[in-house]
Amino acid sequence: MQIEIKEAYAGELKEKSGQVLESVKKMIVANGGVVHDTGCTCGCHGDSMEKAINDIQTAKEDSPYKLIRQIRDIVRADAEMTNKAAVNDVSRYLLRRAILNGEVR
Amino acid sequence: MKPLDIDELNKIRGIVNGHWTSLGISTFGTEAMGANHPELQSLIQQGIITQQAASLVDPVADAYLFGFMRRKLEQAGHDVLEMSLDEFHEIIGRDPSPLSDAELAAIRYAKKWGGQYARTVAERAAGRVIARIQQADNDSFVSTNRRELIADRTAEALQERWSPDSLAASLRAETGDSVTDWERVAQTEIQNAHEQGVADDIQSDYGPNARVAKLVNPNACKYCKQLYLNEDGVPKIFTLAELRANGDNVGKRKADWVATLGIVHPFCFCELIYIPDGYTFNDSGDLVRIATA
Repeated sequence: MQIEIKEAYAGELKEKSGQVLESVKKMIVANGGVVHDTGCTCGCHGDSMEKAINDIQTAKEDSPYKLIRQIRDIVRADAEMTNKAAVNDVSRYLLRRAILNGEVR
Repeated sequence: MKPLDIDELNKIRGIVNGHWTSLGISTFGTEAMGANHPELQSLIQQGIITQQAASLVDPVADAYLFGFMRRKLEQAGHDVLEMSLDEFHEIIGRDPSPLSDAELAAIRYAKKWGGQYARTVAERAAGRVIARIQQADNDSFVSTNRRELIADRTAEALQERWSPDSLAASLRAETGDSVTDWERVAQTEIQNAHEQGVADDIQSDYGPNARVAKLVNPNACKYCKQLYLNEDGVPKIFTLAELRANGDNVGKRKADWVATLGIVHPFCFCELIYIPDGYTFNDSGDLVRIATA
């Protein structure tokens, strides 16, 4: 999943077009990733995705060394997605445990 | 809610740590993260990371290489300010510039250093999740007792507290700092690798006693201004050897910080530049030829 997202971001950084942004979102949803689109009802809210995309969109040309900045954007987006994936996995684990213990019906 | 036992807490710690370790591997590499083979295989089996992830993007090596190649690229007529990562890779691929053993060692060192901090971020992230869950655990226990007192205990209350949506939202709010921690580590180590690359390139061309200065951003911190500018705000000139000998400022008090080749502190973006012989800074901070009598 991380690879696909990185590839998608690398493509976005190169193209910087609205269509690419849309295809990135669709691809992530299609792959069953933990980061979904805005309006998703699974509880993720798509907030980190939006923020990551905004970060990239606002990576202005006034940065003295854009290349380093691009790397940072990828790293930042990865961290947000990592946090979300970790939290979702923990939530799933706790829910499964609660069901097995008969605490949730 | 039945209280979580040690094994269950360790399982949760492992889930969180696994995700952040994977991010560390894909940023700083397997070796840098100290991820042994079984641990890596386990992360692959869980679907958290793929075998290729570590090699797809290599930010530390890219940053070092970019620093190392910057002046060469400019001399060859490339506009590095407008260059994309893909373009950079393409140019490097077309005209490879083999690195010496010392330069490769510098990249390995930068990765290892970053990996060490990434491990700390992973452990801290796991700690935050555990702390939040234990608090929820305690809240749930209190809530359950209260409900028993009024003979109205329902599973719905627990379900509400532990629903995937509410718990995940709560955990994400609590662990947002982990993203900030990661950003600090990644940005700092990448900038440091970049500065080391610049320094090594200058040394390869002009030797260890090459004259250098740091370009200080106008909004730089007071410590960087004190270290790299004189009282008139003009950049001080050092030799590479002088800055290299100062090492770094890790673990030092601010009062003990010294001018360094790399970053002075996390999020430091002052940039090392080469000062040709016969040049100096005038009172306005512009680089000018030294007047001869």
